Amino acid sequence: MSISTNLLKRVQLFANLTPAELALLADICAPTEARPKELIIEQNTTGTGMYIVASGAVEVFISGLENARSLVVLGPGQVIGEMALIDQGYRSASVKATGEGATLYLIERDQFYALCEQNYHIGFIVMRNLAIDIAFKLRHRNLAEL
Amino acid sequence: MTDEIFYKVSFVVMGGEHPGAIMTVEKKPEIGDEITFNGSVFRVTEVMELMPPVGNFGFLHATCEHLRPTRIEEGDETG
Repeated sequence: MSISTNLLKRVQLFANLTPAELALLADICAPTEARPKELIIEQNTTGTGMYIVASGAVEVFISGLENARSLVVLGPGQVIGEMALIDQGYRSASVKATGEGATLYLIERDQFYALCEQNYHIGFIVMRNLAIDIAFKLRHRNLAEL
Repeated sequence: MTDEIFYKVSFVVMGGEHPGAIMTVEKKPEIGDEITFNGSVFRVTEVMELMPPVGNFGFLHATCEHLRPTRIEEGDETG
């Protein structure tokens, strides 16, 4: 089942892309299902791609030595694991599906980079939107910790 | 290109017991709206622009208060 361009239009990461560019992105989106409470990303592991939440929701949390702290719940249209596209470092947090489960689409870093090499406009727009997404999440955290 | 407007909203819950949420919605949230995420219902108490809009996306922040778990709500309706 391929992701629809209608869904991609709701993803801020892909804002300002043309329908033809959204179709190219749809081609590298691989669907995956997460059962309720299933772990999708594990903190401190390496990752090779990012996920788009298509339906349901996911919970982002960080684990310390003694306990875990929930950071945020992300609904449809949000992206997780996006830092792996930039720094190729360890996952900064864990992510699990909420009680309703979630449908996600995985974009592998290598495929995404190859697409950006073929189409610089996609690369520029998505990287700019990625910076906006990270700024948005940082502002959200700042307000949540007041 | 589409003329649809979407709002990416940072929902922060007062009291700090709930982690809050980030969701994309088609209708701009307003004070008094009830929203549901992570098994609970919340009421919006404040809405402000978090960042200037880019393209057809607005970026908002909404403060909200916890009202009830969704499961209790279902029980009330049937009980």
